[in-house]
Amino acid sequence: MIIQEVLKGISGIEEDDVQDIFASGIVCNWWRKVNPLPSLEVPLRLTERNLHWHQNRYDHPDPLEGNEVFSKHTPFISTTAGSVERDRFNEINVLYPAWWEALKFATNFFTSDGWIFYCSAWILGRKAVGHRAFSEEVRELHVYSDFSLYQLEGEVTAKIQIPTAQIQKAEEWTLSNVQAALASGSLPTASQTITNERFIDPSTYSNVRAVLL
Amino acid sequence: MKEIARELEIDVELVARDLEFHRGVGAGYFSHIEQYSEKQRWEPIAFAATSFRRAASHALLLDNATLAIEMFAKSADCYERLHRPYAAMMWSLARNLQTASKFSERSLFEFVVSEGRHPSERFNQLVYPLLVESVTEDEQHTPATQERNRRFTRVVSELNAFSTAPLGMMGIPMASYLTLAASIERNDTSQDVEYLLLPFLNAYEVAVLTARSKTYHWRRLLMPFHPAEPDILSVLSLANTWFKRRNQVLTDFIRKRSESRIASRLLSDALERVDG
Repeated sequence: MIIQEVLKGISGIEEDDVQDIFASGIVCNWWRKVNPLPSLEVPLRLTERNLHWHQNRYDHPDPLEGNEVFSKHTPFISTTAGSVERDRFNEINVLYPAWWEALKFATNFFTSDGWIFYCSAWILGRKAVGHRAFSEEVRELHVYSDFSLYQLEGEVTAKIQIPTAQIQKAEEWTLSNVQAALASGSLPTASQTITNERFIDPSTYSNVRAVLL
Repeated sequence: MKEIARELEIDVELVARDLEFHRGVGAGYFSHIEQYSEKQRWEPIAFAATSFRRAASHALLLDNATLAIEMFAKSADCYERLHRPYAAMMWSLARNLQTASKFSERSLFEFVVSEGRHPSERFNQLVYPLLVESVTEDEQHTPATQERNRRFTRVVSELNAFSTAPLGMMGIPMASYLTLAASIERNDTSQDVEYLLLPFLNAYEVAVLTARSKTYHWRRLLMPFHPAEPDILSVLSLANTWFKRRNQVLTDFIRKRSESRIASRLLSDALERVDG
């Protein structure tokens, strides 16, 4: 098992919402829709079919959900860890740090302020779709060879909930600051950082593979 | 390309914002590039190269060829600092075949004099300088030309051992690059060269079809593949240099394959903008 740092960008939330997330964790869209979560249904939802729909048909009508778009019912949570490092760069000549993708989602593609959450995901190094506790490393081409060209770069997919104990901190990124930095040719930085007191440092259990920043 | 992109339901306003992001981020990394080089921190230089490369593709898609050329040149500079032979392809997309050629010549020379001790991570990438060399015009029968020809043959022979290795964003086998470069170098017929371009055209067509089916990612271009994909455009642009010397244009061939196909329209339009 590998403990992997990942980033999750969320737009349209305020500081109070961040504190709520620190209390309850980051939950999937399905949970937010049906709250409280029908836990008996969880094993029925964590399927390879739904993982493929999450990756490839996110905004398509889902016949299993009365033709509502799949994204409203997804039991998965997309996060990013950045490119798999040097070997992949040698092959394809491009390298993506995790914060680029996270910032795009946090700012709703540069239209609003937002937050980037720093989390840890537990991954097994092989497919384990039915296991809620483990994230799927869809960026890892040895495991998910079909996701290479067309997927969000560096994706790690969590399931149902990223527990609060696995969320280290959240950074606020304001659109005006990001735009000002980019216009002046400097790298944008977060406006503020809030740490999560409920976070439990996983490095006490195992080595942690850092996110590519 | 912008109108075709709209037709294909790509969110061009989002792409314009993403272009400014990648242009700005590239500049942000680039402003510290000397420090990164001194400390041998290669990742931020690779991020800058990737970011400028992405910005260039976005600019092409949005019909801003001038900005695309500027971004490709900056990307080339970064890849060159990383000692990546891939820089040659970025220089060619920046319409700077002279720099591409000088850089390629140096890369191949360094490989030959290393006598088998060339860094392995840059080994496969030598196919890029080979392709540039194949379209570089030389005065015939000078000692320098003969030396260049010997070097070309020697590197092709070495790389043939890796002919099945996938290369670049599209994972096209090295053999496709090698046979194309060798055919152009030999001055084969136009039909021969067109035939050897088919693996690149087919890979692009499959990529566009597949990418479009993933509508959420496609609309936002949330994928490493790009409709103005530099890995394909650079190969076609170099081949086009050779075709132009024969008073032929590669876009005619691309369009002839099927004028109605989206991939053909995208690619021929992109190539016209790249080549000016």
